[in-house]
Amino acid sequence: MQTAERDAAFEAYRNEVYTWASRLLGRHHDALDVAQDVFLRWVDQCASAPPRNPRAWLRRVTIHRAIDFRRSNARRRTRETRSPASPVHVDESTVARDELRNAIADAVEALSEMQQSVLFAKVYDGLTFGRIAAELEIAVPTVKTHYLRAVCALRDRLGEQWGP
Amino acid sequence: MTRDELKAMLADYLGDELGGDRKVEFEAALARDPKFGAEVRGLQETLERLRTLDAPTPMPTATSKSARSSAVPKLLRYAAVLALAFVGGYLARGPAAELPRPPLTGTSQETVGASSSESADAWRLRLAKAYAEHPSDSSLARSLVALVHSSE
Repeated sequence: MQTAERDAAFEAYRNEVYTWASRLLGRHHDALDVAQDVFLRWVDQCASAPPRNPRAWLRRVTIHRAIDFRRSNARRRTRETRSPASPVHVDESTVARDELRNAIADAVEALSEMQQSVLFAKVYDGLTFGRIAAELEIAVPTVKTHYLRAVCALRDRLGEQWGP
Repeated sequence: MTRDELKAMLADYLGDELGGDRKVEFEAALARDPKFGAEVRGLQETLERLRTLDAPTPMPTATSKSARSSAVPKLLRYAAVLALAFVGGYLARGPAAELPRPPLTGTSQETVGASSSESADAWRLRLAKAYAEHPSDSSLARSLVALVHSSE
């Protein structure tokens, strides 16, 4: 992959990378941290084995890195929240929203990488099954199977916490 | 329409890719099969929950005082990383050695495949510096592009 192609992909997908990370993390600076990390990996990847489909690669790595980021920060955030020296005042809707985001992120974490990619491509990017199949280089029926399994798994996990 | 036929159409229905008569037919069949209908509604509610995580404005600019103040520790962190990286590189290479050349100096005809670990490190330093200079807005992206283009 040439430098120009690599940079063009960066320009084309930087907002999407940030948005995918934001969906799972909810915080501007966390999402920027992940976006930065993803593009560093993007440069490394382009130098060694350029991905055939940049968007699919970036989506998969962003979801993966955002999940890792959540996991590594979970303990720290719990400490900060409980610290009496730094009380955090947030309204109830924000708390409820964060709880839902966390529940969804936990559920997404439990999916396979392919299910995560298909789910994000369909629900958040609004791609058709045919387009997703082309991006991921798999058959359309396989995409549909991954999609259904992902939604069913999320329903089961979210249903435990949020009701049917 | 059998349950198996309904299941075969379910992904298209949930993915909003079932159009026209097929959608009407599918929904009529759901009405005749309350158990399966309830299952489908549960899946639709799950998707609605997912969609409530609305997307933020792409690369938003944080200009509030709180956003700026929360960026300060990050700025210090990146500055520290930058400083450590320079000191480490200086010690490893010796004082007489040249500083690493910017990694992205090739023309558009040049491939990245030839870049070394040294250039990857230098790229990281530049990214960290760009991020430290603009920690709270979309300048991360703009700085990257500017850095790449300025070195070409």
